[in-house]
Amino acid sequence: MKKKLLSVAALLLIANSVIHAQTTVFDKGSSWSYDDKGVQLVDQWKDPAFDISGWATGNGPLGYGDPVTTTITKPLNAAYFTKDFTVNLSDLTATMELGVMRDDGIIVFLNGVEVVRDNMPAGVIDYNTLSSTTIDGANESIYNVFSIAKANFVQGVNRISIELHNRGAGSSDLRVDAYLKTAIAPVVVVPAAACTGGTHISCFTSIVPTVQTAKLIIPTEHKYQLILKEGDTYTDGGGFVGGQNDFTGYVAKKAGGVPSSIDGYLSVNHETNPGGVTMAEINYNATTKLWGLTKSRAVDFSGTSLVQTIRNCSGGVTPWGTIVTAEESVTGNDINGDGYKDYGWLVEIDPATAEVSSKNTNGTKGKLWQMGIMNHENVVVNDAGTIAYYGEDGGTHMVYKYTMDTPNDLSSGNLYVLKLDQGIINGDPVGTTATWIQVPNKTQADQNNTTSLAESVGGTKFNGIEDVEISPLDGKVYFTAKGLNKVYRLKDNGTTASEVEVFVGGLSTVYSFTTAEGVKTETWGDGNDNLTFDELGNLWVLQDGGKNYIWVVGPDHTQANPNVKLFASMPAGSEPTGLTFTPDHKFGFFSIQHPDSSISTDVDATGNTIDYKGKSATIVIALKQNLGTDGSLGTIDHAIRDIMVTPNPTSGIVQINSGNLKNLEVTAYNMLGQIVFKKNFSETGSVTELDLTTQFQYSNMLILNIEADGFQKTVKLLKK
Amino acid sequence: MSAAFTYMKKALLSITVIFSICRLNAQIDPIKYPTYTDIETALLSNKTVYSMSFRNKGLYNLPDDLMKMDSLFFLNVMGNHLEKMDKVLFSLSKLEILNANENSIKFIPDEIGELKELKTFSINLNNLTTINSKISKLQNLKAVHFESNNLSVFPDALLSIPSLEEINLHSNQISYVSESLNKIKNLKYLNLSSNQINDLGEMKLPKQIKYLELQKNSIVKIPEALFQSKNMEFLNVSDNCLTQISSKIERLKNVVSINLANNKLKGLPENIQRLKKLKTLILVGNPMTKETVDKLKALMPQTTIYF
Repeated sequence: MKKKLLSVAALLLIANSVIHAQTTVFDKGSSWSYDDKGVQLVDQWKDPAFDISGWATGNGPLGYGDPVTTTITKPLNAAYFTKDFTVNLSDLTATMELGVMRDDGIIVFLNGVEVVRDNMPAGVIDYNTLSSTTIDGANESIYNVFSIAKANFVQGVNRISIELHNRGAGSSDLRVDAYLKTAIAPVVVVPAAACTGGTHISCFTSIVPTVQTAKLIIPTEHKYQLILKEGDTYTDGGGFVGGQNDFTGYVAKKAGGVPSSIDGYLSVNHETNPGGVTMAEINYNATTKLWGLTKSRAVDFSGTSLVQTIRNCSGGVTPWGTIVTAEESVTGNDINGDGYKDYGWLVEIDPATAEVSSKNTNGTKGKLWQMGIMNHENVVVNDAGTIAYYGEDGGTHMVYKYTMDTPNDLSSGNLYVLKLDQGIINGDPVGTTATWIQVPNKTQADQNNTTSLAESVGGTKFNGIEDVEISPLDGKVYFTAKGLNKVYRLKDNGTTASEVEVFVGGLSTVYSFTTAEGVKTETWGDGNDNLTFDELGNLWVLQDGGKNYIWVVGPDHTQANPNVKLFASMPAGSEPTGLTFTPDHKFGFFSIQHPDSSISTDVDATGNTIDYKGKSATIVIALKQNLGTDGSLGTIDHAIRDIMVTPNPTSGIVQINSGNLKNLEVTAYNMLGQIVFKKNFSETGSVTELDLTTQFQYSNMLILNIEADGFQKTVKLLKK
Repeated sequence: MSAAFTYMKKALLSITVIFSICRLNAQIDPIKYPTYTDIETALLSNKTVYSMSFRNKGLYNLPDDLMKMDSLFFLNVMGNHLEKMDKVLFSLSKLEILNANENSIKFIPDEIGELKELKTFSINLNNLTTINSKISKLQNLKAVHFESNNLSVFPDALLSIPSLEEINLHSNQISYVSESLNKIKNLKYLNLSSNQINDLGEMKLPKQIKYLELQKNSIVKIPEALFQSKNMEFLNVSDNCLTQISSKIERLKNVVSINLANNKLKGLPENIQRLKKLKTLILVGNPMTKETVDKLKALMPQTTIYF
């Protein structure tokens, strides 16, 4: 398998364009002239001829309140920076990369012309104008990348001018630094040759980058089917499916000792307070090529030794066929007086009985006390059943390792926390080595206080560890830090770790890939969250934040030679959670958490119209040939599937040729996903006219969602 | 008041307590008490609604129809945009558990005193600068969570709620703590970490105190009275400015875990070896010599020392 992957990687390299090294025009920490007198400057301050000989000078970062090289006067609403530099136009790339670390808002001028406006309102700006939002936390230290066209530069001396605006004069910090480089030619991920007509779930053409729309977008090679949703009545035991569907774990039932990919349990966490877990039983019908739900019930957490669960966030499937659900919130209460804080633990569940399987020493049901209390997110167990890894989202923001005393038994073991030997700066590990430091976990007092102990023994704080996974190819440990917007990896050597590095991501890192509409580029953005590997070593990254995508990162990916594809965009308001695969990797199960109530209905692989407006939903995805048959598209009127919206592009007035559709409902969204128009047409002729002139005054593109009885379609409308 | 009446009242009280515990144990059983996540579904339900969660719903105000949910004992409004506690909240006279974390609430109004059944009150990550003294009317309160607000003093009103078992005030700006904490006689868990405390004066702790967290302050001296806490199992005073530990530490007979990391300690009193139940002692980040630590390790074979 590995050999095959290498040849795929080689093909990719050939297909990719040649990578040029970047040339730096001026670097981080360069010298700038600045005005920090706290007054409005004349309008010409940014022009190349403006006399700045009286301005102070100093090296970046410049500002106050955060670590700076040059401290300027405070407090300020705004400060002004300028710098002359020389270029030879023939050395420049078509676009140049300007990186700016800014806290809070900036406007950048090149030779007197505005080229960047970031975190600042539109319109005229003066000294008193404040930035649009507060930049804080890790975002204060990030160099945001902007592209400047070569045409803005002149041969010889150029002048770059930056006005930096605070969120408020009372704000404690204000800071800027910048660099200018030639841009890297984009590395475009083309569909791998092995994927042409391929049968693996990772064989797809990336979707076109988009804001969230009214429905789920997945590649044209794939289909999806709704399995269950919030509010569905359980088939057994009463009650209904909870909300905020999160970790979605498929556990194979065994047929003749072999794990089945067509018959299993589906465990769905509910990240609610009170929490809960839905345990469903599902199987696949080879004739209809659809999944059926035969049973669903709530996992029983009612034992007095358990005191239920809260905020069941992510979790894991163990190699021995159980589910571990992770409580993301810690509380100190001890309602049942057993000496353990009630919430903030990992809890193991037997999917067959839908009951907690881990036991206290006295035989009662228990939580996994020795694994420690924290804002648990997920857990991954190695195939040998000897080591578990997990992280804390919040609190210590650290990565933990747990070595079991007995294989396949999580109830007792030793606990360690990851310490990067040389720490982490701006989200980047300084060195490549790390140490696992033991955390006390043998007494109840210590089990109840894991996080403060881990902090004292010296674990390294990332920011929001959301998931830890193990690569099936080389056993390396991968983890996400949501607040740092990156995925890291390391090699675990037992008491130490090596090869610690950023694997993928970065708030402003851009990736290019081939879509049905040609090569597109998209920013990674914030919020990388749940991770899952498929058996080929593709890392599926689910995003809570940014544009709430599902990304797929190839096993051969490096930041210098990226292999990143875009798999899915979630319906408005929702995030994808908890992807797991069947053992044969034909099917992937995940949940769509908290979609808006304004999303549209859709038609899934059953051919039926499904409605999960405002309800968290759990779905299965697969290549088209594996999910549903054409004959199952029963409720769609094929004759009118190609509804026409004309003209497109338009100056505002469009006609919808809707044939014999009844009860037309039209919703228009702008590129921020906001509804800008909505109208129902109960009595419609075959042609319906809409006037979107006003809406197009503020948008160059609108997404039109058209629904009718048994029909749904979205259309991208462009402004003429 | 007659003796018989007093007896009856006591008996009634204990029955109430038993009933409350039963319900608390079962309070979040999703089958018995399903949690409704939108008011429309709750209104349409033909069953009594006991539990509601509006977490992360983008709310600026609570729905007025909430007042119709008069049997509600659990309410979660965490992660919204609430700037105040709307009046409708105080009509929920049966409320036992209220979670208002992660909002922008600036103050607690006087009406808080009407939520007489309240047992757990969480209002972490808000913008509170004071705690309304009317909270002392809530004599059934067991746990309060005021983490990550802007409180500058320990809320004195809590001293009048002896039923409290847990107080969490970490990540505020508290510099002054009342010396009479012993009035909160049922208090077991107290967390004052990540504040601005440098002097605890002659702070007296309740006898029941079991876990005490004072880490991440600027404390220079542990008050002598603290060592009288016979039930103390966990003491965290890491990340402070301690230069020495009193030999009275030997009185913490039941302590299991002590965290003294990141202080200015050069040594510890030898009689710390008398703490026979001590299993964990963290000394990381203190200016101690290896010899000092080795000596302690030899003195205390039953204790794992982290240095």
